[in-house]
Amino acid sequence: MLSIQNLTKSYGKKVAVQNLSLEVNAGEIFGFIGHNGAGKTTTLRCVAGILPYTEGVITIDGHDVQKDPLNAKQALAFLPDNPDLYEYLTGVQYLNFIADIFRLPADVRTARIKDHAERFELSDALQNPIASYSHGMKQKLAIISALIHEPKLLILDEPFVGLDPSASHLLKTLLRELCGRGGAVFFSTHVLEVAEKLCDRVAIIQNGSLIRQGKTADIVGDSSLEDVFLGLQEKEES
Amino acid sequence: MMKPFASLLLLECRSLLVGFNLGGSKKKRAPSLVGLIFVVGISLALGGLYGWGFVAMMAQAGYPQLALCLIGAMAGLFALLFTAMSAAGTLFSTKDLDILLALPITPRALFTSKVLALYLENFIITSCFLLPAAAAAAVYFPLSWSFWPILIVVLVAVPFFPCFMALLLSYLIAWFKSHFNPGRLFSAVLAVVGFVLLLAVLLPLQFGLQNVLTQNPAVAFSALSGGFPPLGWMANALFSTDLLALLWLCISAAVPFALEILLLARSYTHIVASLLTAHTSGKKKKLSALKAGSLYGALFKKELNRFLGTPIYLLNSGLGLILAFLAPIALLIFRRDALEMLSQLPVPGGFLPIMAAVVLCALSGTCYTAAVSISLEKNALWQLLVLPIETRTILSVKTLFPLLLQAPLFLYFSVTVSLLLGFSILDCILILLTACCFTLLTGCLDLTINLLFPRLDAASDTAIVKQSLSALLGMLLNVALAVLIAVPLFTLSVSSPLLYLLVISGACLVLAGVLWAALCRWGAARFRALT
Repeated sequence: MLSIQNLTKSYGKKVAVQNLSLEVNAGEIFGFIGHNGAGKTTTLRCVAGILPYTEGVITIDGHDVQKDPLNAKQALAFLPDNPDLYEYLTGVQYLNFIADIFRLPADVRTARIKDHAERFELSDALQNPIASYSHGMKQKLAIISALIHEPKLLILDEPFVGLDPSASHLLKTLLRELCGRGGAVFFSTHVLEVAEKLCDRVAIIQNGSLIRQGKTADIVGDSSLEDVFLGLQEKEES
Repeated sequence: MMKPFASLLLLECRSLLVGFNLGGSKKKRAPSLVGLIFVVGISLALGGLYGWGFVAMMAQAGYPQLALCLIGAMAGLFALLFTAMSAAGTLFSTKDLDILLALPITPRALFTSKVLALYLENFIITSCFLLPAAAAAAVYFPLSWSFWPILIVVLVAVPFFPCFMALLLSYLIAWFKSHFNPGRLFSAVLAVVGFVLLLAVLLPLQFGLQNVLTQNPAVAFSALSGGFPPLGWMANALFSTDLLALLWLCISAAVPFALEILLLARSYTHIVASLLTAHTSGKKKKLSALKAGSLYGALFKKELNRFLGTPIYLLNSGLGLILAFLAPIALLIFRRDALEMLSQLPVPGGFLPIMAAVVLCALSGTCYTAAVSISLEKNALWQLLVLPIETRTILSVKTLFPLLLQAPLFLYFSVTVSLLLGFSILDCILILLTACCFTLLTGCLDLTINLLFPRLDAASDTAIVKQSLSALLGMLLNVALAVLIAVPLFTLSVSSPLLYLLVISGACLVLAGVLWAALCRWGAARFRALT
């Protein structure tokens, strides 16, 4: 579903991501973990088509993100870590806008928005301006906007920040449902317990380079993901 | 005490500089500095048109005090008009308030630092009127040596008056909003009503006072200075070296302003906290069936919702539209006076359609939506980059939005003015065509300017709409272009007004085409790099 080959991204002289390669298969939840400034967000934004990159190839559902961006973006949905939405729109206006971009039929969008809004307990707030939403409500709205067109690849940057426990649990359920339909999830998180329980495979990035990737069970072994991560960090530093 | 205040003041100044893209590396600053110089130059030129014109008019009557009185009044009113809305944004709507209120800074220091930023804005606007007027006074009247040092004091003192009023108005509105939660468009509607009321007072004065000004300047001066004594003190201080009058001017400017700050600062935190935690009425309407729209429709609706849902944006770029709506009504009410004024213009009567087109283009030029459209995306820009939309489509919507917004107004203006002034149908069509082609050109131009000088990190919409370099450049260039349309009338021998408008429309279209071609290549790449 997602293939990243030899991705390198620099900001001037600073190399944020160096020669990164990984694959996310259909039906898989792939966790991407690393310290602050490791290059997680840069990688996710390159995959989402937000950041240009000069080296490497990223394909989503067979479409090159740089050469065939429209088709690649049709297949994906991206949720940043702190979603800044259009505050002058109401929740429903925003979702309608996203649905128009993806050309969802009226009955389909109405049904999906209703369903997701009820599940996230956001139905009562949809008619209000986004400016009046709390951070968690904005996060929920952004998640709904990512899910309404049923993307094949869902890219999430720290998706659980700001969500209450029931919304977190619901999001995990939805991610599993998406994978059950043949989709894939690629997300970054600092909450290693969530990554350990939720992800089928994980990759650990440090200073722009991948230092470990594989099945979660294989990487964790008898230990915990936190111990593995901290151990790898100490090893790299020494 | 002083150190935190100085830090706050420095923060506000830095924010203003960043707004003009003057922060960052030398390489980035250079083009912005050129742009800023251009903006200041154009502002002085436009302010100079009024200032110099009035002084030249009063030179015939030999009454310089009246000229400066009028310019002072005009400068104050303009400054009030343009800063009344930005005051609300500067004081109450910036994203940094959360952090600033949590710091160990007195609310008074915080409030004062923001008010001083507002004062700076008023200072710039009033100077753009007073400096050219002073230069004209030096040409037309004999001035004493004391004129120039006193002028410096006057330049500092005059902005306090519109700043006082702007602060008071914005405070009252914020208080009202924090207590009654009246809805998003409340401020904009209030400002429009205030503006219309102001015009309703000024227009009869404009037509009524004209003869009095030149034939009875002493009476006019007495009336103006009696109605607002600081105007008279200012004029007497400058032309009669009346130091007592200067002292009264300074006291009347500074003391009420200082008292206002002291009083309003006491409840500043309370009002900000109320506004920050204000929620809507909590409508709990059931979700009804939604309608599907097109891609272009969705993008246009987004632009329109932003325009209508952001009061500072609506008011600043909609001011010209309000005037374009009111102009035919004013023409209907003051038809005789207007026709007399038009007959005094140094152009043949058959060229009035050209003047109508110029006026419409100038008013349209103040609708600089494309110049701030990208900046207003701010941190939400990622959505346009991640959605499956071609960059060219995004740019085309932002370029065409001003035209689609104003097209109905152009039609209304062209038809009503043509009817009132007895233009032919062809005149009417050409006025409409010229305005549309002009707006296409300015849409492309303004978007180019915004791509050159984007401001994605602004603390508030006010900072983008009122203080960013692209906003100022866009508006001023648009108006300057509109004025440029009229220049050949006075310099070349134009035989056919209809042909002239046709040529102008064609030129605008060609230039718009060239700019659009550049936007498709350079602009699209530049837009994608805005992350």
